[in-house]
Amino acid sequence: MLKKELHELVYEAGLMLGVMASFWLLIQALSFLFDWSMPFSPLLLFIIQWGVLIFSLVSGLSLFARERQQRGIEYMLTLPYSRYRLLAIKALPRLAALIVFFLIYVALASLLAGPDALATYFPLPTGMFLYAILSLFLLGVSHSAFPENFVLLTLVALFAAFLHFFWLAVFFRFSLLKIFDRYLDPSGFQFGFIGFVGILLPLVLAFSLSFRRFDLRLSQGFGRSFKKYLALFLVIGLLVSAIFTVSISESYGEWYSLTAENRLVINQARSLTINDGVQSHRFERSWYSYWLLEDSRFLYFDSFSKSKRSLFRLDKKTFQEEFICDLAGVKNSLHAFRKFKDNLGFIENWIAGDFTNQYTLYVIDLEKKAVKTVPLTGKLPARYYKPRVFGADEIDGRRFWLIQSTKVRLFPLIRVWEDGKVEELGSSRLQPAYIGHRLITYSPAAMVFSRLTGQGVEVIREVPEGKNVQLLNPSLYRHYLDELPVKEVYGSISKNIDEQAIVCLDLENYTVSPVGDWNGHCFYSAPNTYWLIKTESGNDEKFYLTRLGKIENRKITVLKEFSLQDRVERYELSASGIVLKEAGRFKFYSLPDLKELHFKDLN
Amino acid sequence: MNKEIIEVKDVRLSFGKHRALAGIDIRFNQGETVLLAGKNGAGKSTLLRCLAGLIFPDAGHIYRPGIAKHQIGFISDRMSLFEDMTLERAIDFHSRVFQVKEFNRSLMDELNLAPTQKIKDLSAGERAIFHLSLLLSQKPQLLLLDEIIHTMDPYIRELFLNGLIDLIAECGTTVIMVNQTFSDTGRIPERVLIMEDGRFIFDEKSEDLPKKIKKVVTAAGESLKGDIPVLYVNRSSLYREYIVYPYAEEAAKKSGYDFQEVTLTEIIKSFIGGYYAKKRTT
Repeated sequence: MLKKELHELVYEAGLMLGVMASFWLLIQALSFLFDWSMPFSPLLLFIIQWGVLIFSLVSGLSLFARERQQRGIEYMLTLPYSRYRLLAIKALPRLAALIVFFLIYVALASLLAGPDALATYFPLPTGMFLYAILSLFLLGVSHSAFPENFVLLTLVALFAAFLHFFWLAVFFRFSLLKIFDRYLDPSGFQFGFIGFVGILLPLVLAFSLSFRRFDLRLSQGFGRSFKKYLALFLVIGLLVSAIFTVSISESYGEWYSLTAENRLVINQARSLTINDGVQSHRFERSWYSYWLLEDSRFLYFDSFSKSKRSLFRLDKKTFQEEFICDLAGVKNSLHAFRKFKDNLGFIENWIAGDFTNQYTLYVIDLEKKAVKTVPLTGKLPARYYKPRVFGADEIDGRRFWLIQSTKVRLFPLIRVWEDGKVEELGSSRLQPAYIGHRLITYSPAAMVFSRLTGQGVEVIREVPEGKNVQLLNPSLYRHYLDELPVKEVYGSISKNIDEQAIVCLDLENYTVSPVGDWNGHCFYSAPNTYWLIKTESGNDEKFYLTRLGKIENRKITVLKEFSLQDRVERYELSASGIVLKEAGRFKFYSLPDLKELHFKDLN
Repeated sequence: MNKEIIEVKDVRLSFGKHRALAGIDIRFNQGETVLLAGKNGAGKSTLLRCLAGLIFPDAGHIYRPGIAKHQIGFISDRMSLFEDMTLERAIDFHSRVFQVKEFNRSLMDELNLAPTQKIKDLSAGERAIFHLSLLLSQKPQLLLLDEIIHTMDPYIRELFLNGLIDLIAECGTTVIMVNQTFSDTGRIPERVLIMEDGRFIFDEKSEDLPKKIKKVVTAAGESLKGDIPVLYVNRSSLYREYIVYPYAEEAAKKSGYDFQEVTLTEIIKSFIGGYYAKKRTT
């Protein structure tokens, strides 16, 4: 029987590959005819991914299709196998084939586009892809014995989904945005889990339990049993998924952060509230407000709808809101800003551009409220990912921006002048940095300090003892934008997974000196501000804060030890404060004194 | 006495509102050859599929002590096989699944069936012979045949029945067959069961049939006198044929009629005809 199944599987898989190849050839032909620019790797990966997804569903749905087509169902049921064994013989080879296809995809994607590409969102991240394969297959299997009731089952599943959303809508008092914000992110774990528990699991469980009654009377014994179990599990599934959604919704919709002056910023779906301890100032937005950035004077946020993305800023003292500019053509969330004097620079299309090599450098003049764009399509190294601005400077009045691309253990660097000129600056083995007009890169043997001139790069010093130092000033993912003069920066050398030696890098003498060991994570929050965190896993597998420290004057100081039993969660760490979650409640402390901050009018 | 291999206890089954089996209780013994008859929709094929394990009853139990699933052979009226397979592949498949050590090709050879032929290219009769060949090699303890004999031409039918007789002789197989034409199979069954509306209304050994059912032929328009139980009347312009059931020797002698023996086909036809006559009057 297994041999027969494998035989059929090879046939079906061959058919699928044929369809995929035909589709690929068709696209190639159309590209040739109409002069489309279709990149090879992304197109191939896209076709494979969607081909495998469709095959997953079809493969599940057609579990018994061949037998039906061959009028062999009765013969199949006379074979000396139990129903479950029959199901296993039919389903497991198909499942194995899907896993093989998935692995082939992963290998191909890794080969064609690099391992980093697998974590990106084009076409689907790896984990989500595997989840989608399994879900579609199981969905197909649960419908496979019921060809005549396919429409009915699909309607039941859709109705269940509708009920689920409706229930949540009632719960959230029809504030639908809150719900769909979360659900419309298909790569989110919650999205997958809720769909799985609410809809897929009831179908699969009902099918599995009723399959022992699978016989020629599909709509009778098996069907009745299936419907009975499905009704039961759908009710349970909907309840569980609704409870789960409500439980996660506690932390959803509001995001608490502290500014450098320890004002509380509450970022919500359609508003931004700033609380200075005495009063709250709420700024309503028509759509999303997102991403907190700040400098010494302003708080920056972007606001976006489907059609438009705009940049605003709030004066932290006067609470005056100021529109800066619309960002035409920006589709991705703003990411990895660098500020240079009154200019903000960032790369657009930093996620989706991975495959197309279509990027744009945006430079926003904050004073003139003007936007300049420098097209970078085809100018960044191909098949490297997530390009980011990591530094900026000017020479003889001409401004340039430094951009790093990423691949595993290799960071190619380029310099983009605002007049459009692009220069390659070599590559770095570890994350590069640009601090105090000095470019810090890594050769295989040393940390290299260079000066950028109008013509290129001049090496100032090579520091072999710094070759494995990962700077804690990566200029990425940070909220605080101002560049302040620094004489030294700190870095770490990994010893074990969670253990690292902290070192100090003297930027005047180019020396590396040890500071101490820290069993935990290190955070750079703002120039000259380094926090140390240690978390441990509790019985509930959540991570709780157990130690908080800081690095200052080449010394590690432990600020406070926490007991694991206190269940204190670190929520957000900023330049001079920390948001903790204690017993489900948010609490705010200044750093480094850990004095509790109270905000009036805070619910 | 042969040992019991199937016990059916209060088996009930419906297709929607239609009740196909209405509380069946019956036992079958090893080596027994049973003919299952009745009108269309009486529940014969459904019962056969329940015995084969293709359909689960809604209620009741089917016990098959001492019979494993691989010892059951079933040929349906749809002659279900994986028909895209060649004969060779189907033999290989069946032999592996049922752990057949040696495949008996004698019946196939009689029809000169080529191993490279696909099952779907066989005629109905050839297909039945091929399916029987598969089952003969499997040496089943229980063989269930659902209205397949009438699909065969006389030669293939003879071949099929001979194969069946050989199987019964060699393996002591219990054969339960549903059939509507009885001219050829009449010599085989030891027991005749007739179903009506999901129940058995007749269960007799073949050897007892002549003693229990008789017929009286009279002139057209002549009614049967006396207290004789009539199952069915076959009316024609020339004569009337009264099927008498149950036949009682003493009552027959008193009536003075000439009671004649009936064939199996006539018996079955009478039960079916009797059903429809009863339905007309009610």
